[in-house]
Amino acid sequence: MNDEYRSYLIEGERAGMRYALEQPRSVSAATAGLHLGRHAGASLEFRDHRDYQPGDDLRRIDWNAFARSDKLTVKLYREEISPHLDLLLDGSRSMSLESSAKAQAAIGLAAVFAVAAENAGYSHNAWLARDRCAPIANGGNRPSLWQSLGFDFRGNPAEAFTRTPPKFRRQGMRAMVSDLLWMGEPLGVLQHLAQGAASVIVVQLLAEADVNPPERGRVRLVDSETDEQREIFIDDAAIRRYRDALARHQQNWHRACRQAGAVMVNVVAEQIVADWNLEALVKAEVLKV
Amino acid sequence: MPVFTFPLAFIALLAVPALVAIYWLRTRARERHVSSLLLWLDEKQMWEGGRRIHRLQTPLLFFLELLTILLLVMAAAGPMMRAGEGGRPLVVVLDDSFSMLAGNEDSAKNRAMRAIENELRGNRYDPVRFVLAGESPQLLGETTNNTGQAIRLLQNWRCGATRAWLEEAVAFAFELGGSRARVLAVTDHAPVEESNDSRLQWWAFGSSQQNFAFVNAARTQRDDEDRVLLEIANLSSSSGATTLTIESDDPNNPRSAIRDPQSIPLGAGKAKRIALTLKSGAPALRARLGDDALGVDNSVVLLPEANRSVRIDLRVRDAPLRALVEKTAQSSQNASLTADDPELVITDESESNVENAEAWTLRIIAEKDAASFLGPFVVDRAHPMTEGLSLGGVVWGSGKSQQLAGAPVITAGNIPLLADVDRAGRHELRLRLRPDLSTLQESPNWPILIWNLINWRARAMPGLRQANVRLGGDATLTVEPGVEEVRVVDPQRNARQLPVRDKAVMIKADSVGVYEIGANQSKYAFAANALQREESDLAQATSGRWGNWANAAALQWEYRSVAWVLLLLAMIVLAVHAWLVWRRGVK
Repeated sequence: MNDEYRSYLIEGERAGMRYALEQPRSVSAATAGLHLGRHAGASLEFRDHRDYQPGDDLRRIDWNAFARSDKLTVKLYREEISPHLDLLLDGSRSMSLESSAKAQAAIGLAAVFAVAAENAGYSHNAWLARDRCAPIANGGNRPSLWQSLGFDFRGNPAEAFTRTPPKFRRQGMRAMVSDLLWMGEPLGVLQHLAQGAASVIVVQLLAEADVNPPERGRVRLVDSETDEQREIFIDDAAIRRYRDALARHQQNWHRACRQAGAVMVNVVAEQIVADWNLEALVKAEVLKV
Repeated sequence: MPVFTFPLAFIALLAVPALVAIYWLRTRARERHVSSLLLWLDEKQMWEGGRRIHRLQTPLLFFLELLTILLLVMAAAGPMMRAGEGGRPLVVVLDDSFSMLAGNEDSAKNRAMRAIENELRGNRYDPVRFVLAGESPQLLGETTNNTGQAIRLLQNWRCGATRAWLEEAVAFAFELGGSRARVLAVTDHAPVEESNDSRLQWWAFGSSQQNFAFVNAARTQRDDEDRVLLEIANLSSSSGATTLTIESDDPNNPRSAIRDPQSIPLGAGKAKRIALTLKSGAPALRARLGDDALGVDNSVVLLPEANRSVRIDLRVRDAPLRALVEKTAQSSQNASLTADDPELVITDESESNVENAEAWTLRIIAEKDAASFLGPFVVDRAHPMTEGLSLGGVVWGSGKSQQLAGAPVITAGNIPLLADVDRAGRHELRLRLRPDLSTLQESPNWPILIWNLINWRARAMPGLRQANVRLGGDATLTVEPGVEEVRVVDPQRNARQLPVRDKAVMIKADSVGVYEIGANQSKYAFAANALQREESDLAQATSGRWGNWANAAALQWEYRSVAWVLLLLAMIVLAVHAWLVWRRGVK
């Protein structure tokens, strides 16, 4: 890992000192773990009753209630949440888009999340999605100690995520930092990400150049991942179409995140690295100061 | 085909490569790395992929802008289109001088005829007129709108004039043709200065050639013999020699005073004079030079001048005055004193009976009541009697009366001194003179006065005034009373009848050779010779064309500007361009 990335980690680590990871809402502290989730789960804390539905665990049937009311009901318990953050960093080449602060912001944000998790009493582990999702060396330690970071994957990180699903800690929090710029239905990725997770945070990190397309004129666009080229003429109409496409793409992800129970936050790299003011994440109740 | 009046505007076509450069620079794709092409999939590519060599992209706007530039450049170049199918009037001015004949078959005239024929067949002119440029402009044939007829008219172009006043002829052609006419001057030399009139073209078909020519030839009677002067010139830029052959029509003495054919060597531009003496009244003398570029000036014919001596009857009683008149009259070679059938009577009698009805009279009146006049003398310079008179310092003694019959010719103030009464061609002159009070008779004015009288009378006598004239000159024949028409046979043996007016007829010598004239029973002849050094000089002859009918000033007459059409098209194209830009902006 080059020194530049190391400096980004240190920079993010320094920025993350001000933040702590926000706990998932409505989570009780009296659980086997330190935090409880909002969903019904397998913790010992009773939450509610509901009618039995085929497929429910027979062990959860409240036989006393059946005796009293001759009606099958099951007891619901609060879900137990593990105080752990699995941090997934998109390792595709687009995350280090040239002439942008994307790599700096991505590495820095990952460091921020790691430090914020520590500040909240969470353990953490960092993963890097390249051709396969693999843990970052020393990813459980302080970010400045992480090893082998790199953005050189030329493929779709969603496929890697599906092909080699990472072994995230069950009931832990999961955060993914990516530009989400790939083809495919986002819900599939999110369902994999949310499976067994207490909460999921998706941070879409875009460069300023991704938000604001190139200036008008004839431009030969080069895909930073595939090196595919496309020569187009950019005018006001093309810019409008691009922004519309970006908005639709983000709406799809937002919709999928809502369906998967994930929180999605959009940030712009250049704005992040300008002052490391992570107001957007604070507003989304992902981080707290 | 359109004609462009301002082709310099085509420099603006440099805007085309500029436009191409702008498009090339503007459309040259800048390379931009993007995170993904995912969001650009809706955009159409500028070309289909796979080509290794990318050609310049030329969108419709480029072609519209290119078309606009071309239209504007063409409009700025002043395009003119022929207005209608009708031809334009053409007046061809033909140099009618004999120098056009130089070169025989390849003469300037023949080459000019071929060029004119080509011009007439290649372009539409309506109508066509020909003007001969000689001593004075002259129309050749009728106006025609038929090319074939116009070409046939050219056959009457003979080139017999001794001078070609082309400037006058061109001015006449402009008058003749009107403001729309084109004028084509055809000659064998360059214009003195190139005309600014765009309607005029000047074509020259001459060529500089060596030419020997007679530039002067004269025959005069003197002391009972005829003197002949021949002047031969080498009118070229190099030395050379020619042969001179002189022949005479005298059957009795064909070689009298005639030299054998001789070689005449002459330096460049030099001339040689040859004087001969013939018997008085010897028949025609013919001189001929060797063949060269121009034949018409290589021969001369000199006829003997007619003897036109005036018979004078002196009836002067005053002895001193008679002696004075007699001496003066005898000193003139054209007078003989005789009382037999006089043609001129000089008398101091108040009444004198003159038998000859054609005789003229000079009546000298010496009045008693006289005075000497010092002037001022008023002289009718148009009168034949006053030619060469200079009365300054002369004392003229004359009667003081203001009355004198006849038209005053000379007066001292309001005192008439010489008066003329014209009686149907017979003149009666009255001269008031008191020799004892005058110095007139002691001055040169006296013999001048008498010589003028005799010469005037001699010219009024029947016969030719000159037996030898220069080509293009006029021969004046005075005929007997009662002759109303004369028959003229020219050197080509073509005969024609000419009417007589005031007992005289003027014959223009438009051909080289001998003219024969018959007036009732009388026969006359005169010779015409091409003696014009300027026309024989072929050194300045040249070929070339000057003037351009297809310039702006000339085009405006038969062409109409179509620049407005191009400008309109350019505006339409620009409007389409603007609409396309607007539509793209909306999309």
